[in-house]
Amino acid sequence: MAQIKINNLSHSYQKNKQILKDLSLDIHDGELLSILGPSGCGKTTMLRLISGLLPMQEGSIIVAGGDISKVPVYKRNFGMVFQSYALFPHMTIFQNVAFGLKRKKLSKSEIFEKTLSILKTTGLLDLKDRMPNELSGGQQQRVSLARALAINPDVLLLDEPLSNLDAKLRIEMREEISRLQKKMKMTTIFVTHDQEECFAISDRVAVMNHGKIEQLDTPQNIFRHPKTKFVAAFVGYENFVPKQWAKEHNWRYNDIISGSQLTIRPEKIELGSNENILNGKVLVKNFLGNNYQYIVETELGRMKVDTQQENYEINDDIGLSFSEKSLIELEDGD
Amino acid sequence: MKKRAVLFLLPGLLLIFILLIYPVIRMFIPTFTGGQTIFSNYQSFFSSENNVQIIFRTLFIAVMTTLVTLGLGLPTAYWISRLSGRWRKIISIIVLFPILTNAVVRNFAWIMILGKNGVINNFLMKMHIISSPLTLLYTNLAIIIGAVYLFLPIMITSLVSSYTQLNSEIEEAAEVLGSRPIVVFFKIIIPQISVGIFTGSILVFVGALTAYTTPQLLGGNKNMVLATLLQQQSITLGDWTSASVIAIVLTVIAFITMIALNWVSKVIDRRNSHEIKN
Repeated sequence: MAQIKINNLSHSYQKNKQILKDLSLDIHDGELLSILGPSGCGKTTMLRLISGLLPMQEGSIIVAGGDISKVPVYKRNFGMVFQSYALFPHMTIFQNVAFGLKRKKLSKSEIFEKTLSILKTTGLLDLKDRMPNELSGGQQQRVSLARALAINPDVLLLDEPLSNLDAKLRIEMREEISRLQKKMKMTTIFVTHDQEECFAISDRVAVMNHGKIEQLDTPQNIFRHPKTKFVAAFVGYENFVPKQWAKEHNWRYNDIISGSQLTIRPEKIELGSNENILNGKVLVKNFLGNNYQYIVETELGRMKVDTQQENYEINDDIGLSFSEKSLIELEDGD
Repeated sequence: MKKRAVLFLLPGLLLIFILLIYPVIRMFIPTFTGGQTIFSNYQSFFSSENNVQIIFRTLFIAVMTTLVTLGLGLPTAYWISRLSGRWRKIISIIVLFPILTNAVVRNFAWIMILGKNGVINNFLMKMHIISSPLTLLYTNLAIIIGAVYLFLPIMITSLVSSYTQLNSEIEEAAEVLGSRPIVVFFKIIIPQISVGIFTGSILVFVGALTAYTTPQLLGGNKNMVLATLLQQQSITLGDWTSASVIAIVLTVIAFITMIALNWVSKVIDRRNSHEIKN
């Protein structure tokens, strides 16, 4: 159990390819913090630096008050779950889970008991004598999680652990992660590119872009009040409106936020009401299951609209309306 | 359609029968005839102390060659497998280069290096480390050196192909779980490449067991092995029955080794045994 302080972390792979730029982040004791971002944003690099698998170049990482920057991987006592599960293919499930305990030079009976206990907690007891290649993807990831937790790590690191699983298993597994994390009160860093899975289980979310953290907040705040255009686009705000245009329509803004853009979610826009704000032409109509999505060409560019209404067709002239309250002010990113 | 497919196979099958199966049978039969019992020829072969010594020397050289190529090959192949694509190709070609030269030329090079007035003895004498030349040539050591040089590329190639199939996240997982690099190597990497170790060892062992040119040129007449003995019996003495006995002894040793190594590799890597059970 530990608090993590990441100070001024920078990292480059080649001379001009900087992956992380002066990144600082505090992770509270027992918290599940997600790092959310597209591929190439530096989130995996950051996790590998924390784990020690990648040697640090600049900055420092303090875990539970101690600087671990120069501590080798095998002495850090971290748990890590990989995207590819990374189970030892030549060992049984029991041996996989016991592997970390054996490295700790515990007595045989202690290893045996601790392994059995974690297998029980993760519901893997029946599979203990199987080999990894005899298990399904979901079971393998469960073993990978059990193996990481068995050594009672100070920090649990999860590197896109759900992305190789199908939709149903993904939900099951993320709930399992959340349950075990809360039960063991383990400080956990969860790296993902999927906003839904990270919102569901995280205490806080750090949205990363180009090696920097764009916003660090609770899932609710990030969803309701994205700070920058990048964060907004990443959590499903599809439409962007210039603030100048809103001012011309006599909408009052306090100008607390200095940015020039406003954003609105597709489901907050209505089609064909009496008080049209924007006129446009339907370009695309898609059936999404719960609703229809229209892409409408307007004077503000293409707007996406999610609605239950299905009586519009391509090339129909159409009026769009939305309320002042649905617009969210954004800061200008870089 | 099926009948026609058999027709296509016929020429090949015929060749295999005429050129492989028939001669092997013809070689087999005489070794069991001509004596008082069917094993007379074998009894007389094994009763010669000299022959038994040659068997043990052959086995010793083959085992040592396999162990040394394995010891040199494991780290080298690991290093090659971790290189980027272009460098891996360049180094692989350099590794394979000795195979492209003629065996006689290669062995004469070793004669120049190991001989009484060879490179090594000259150097040691000039440095005043030794006062009289060492006997390096025409020893078991010389044969092993030559055989290692000959078979190392084969071992490395077979290990590299195993190494490159490894998922590096598995090694990283072991490191995070508290394993030093040396533990990762022996507990995680070695078991996963046991198929490559098995293949490489079989190829090198059988190759060293049956090699003729290298022991002939570097071992001389004092240090005979089964292959050179076979040549002496058949070509020099014209005793084809004895030569056939030697050939069969060689074949049996190769077979037993293959089965034993296969068993060992399955014990190391339980994946294979499990697959068979299911």
